[in-house]
Amino acid sequence: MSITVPVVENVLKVNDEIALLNRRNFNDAHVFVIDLIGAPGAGKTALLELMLDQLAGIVRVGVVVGDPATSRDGQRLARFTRHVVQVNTGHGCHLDANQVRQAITKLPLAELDILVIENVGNLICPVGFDLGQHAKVGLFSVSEGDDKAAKHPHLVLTANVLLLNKIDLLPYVPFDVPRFREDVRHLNQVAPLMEVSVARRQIDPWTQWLLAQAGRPQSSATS
Amino acid sequence: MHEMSIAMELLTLIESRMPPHATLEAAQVRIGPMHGVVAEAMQWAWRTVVSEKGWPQARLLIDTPPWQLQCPACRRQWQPQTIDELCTCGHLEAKLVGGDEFLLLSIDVVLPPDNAAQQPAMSSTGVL
Ligand SMILES: Nc1nc2c(ncn2[C@@H]2O[C@H](COP(=O)(O)OP(=O)(O)OP(=O)(O)O)[C@@H](O)[C@H]2O)c(=O)[nH]1
Ligand SMILES: [Mg+2]
Ligand SMILES: [Zn+2]
Repeated sequence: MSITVPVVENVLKVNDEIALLNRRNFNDAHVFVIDLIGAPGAGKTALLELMLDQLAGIVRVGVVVGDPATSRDGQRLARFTRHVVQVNTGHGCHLDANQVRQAITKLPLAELDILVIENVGNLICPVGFDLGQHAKVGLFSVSEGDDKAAKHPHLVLTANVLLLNKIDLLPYVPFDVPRFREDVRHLNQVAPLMEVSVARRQIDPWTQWLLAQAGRPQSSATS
Repeated sequence: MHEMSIAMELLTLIESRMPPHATLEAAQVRIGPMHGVVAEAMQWAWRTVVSEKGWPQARLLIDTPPWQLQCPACRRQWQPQTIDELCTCGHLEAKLVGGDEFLLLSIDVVLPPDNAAQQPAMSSTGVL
């Protein structure tokens, strides 16, 4: 006998429930957590390396880094902090709340001020999966082309901050910054858009923003 | 790639809603264009995950709702071709009110005969 069972439920419900638990742990430990999302090669790990270097002695930063198969990013970051956990996602193309939940058992959350989760290099897939972060950061780069914000509305719509990296390449590659800004503004009128260059070690607006958020009571940054 | 994760997530939710020992025949889902799901890739991923569970016959019916924008100035609601379309009144900041859905709507299942208190026909494999 065949029957139809009505369900009408959000498919990401299970993930969202675990994300909620993560967020509670983060709040209890007073650690500000960001989910860093960007295309492969946009400079996520490079940004983290520079941040860890510049923020050393000012705030304590931990990292969870997702990678499909290797531990290379984890090794790069381990030169700057002891608090790195590498998660291999295998055939999954994004981190989910449960993977983050496992990863943070290996970190002394209460000893950290900021936790950065480097998501798997991908602009579509990680966006729908809440990890329990306080802020979602979308990283674009000049070498990807100026149409990427318009082509990836989900990320732009839900990001709390947008970064445009590799602006040192502007003299060499065609990239219309005003047009990119306009595309972003159509979709998201609230999130600041910051131009940075990790190669030139110019990421000040970003670190300032981060320090301001981390200094704030977590409840105000959380919904 | 992306579709595989979605298929796995979907099956997790479906399993939690299945009556005991039932067999899955079909699932109806609504996935808005925001999730960037490619129908063909999604069907392929679905086939893979349900086959692993021992329900190779289970079908996936995908309903794709359109983008919906609403203008905060003139209240006009419309279905744009692309998500960055402007309102005809010239207002710049239309709000997204549809296209981001990701819902499991219903599942069709076959129940075992009443007196079949034995093993389910399709014990889950756990093999990758
Ligand atoms: N010119 C230039 N190159 C940069 C900049 N930032 C990063 N890169 C280079 O971009 C390449 C990719 O950087 P990664 O940090 O590995 O990128 P990622 O986003 O972590 O990549 P995945 O983890 O593989 O997704 C490296 O060769 C970096 O040196 C920048 O500001 N300017
Ligand atoms: Mg990386
Ligand atoms: Zn209007």
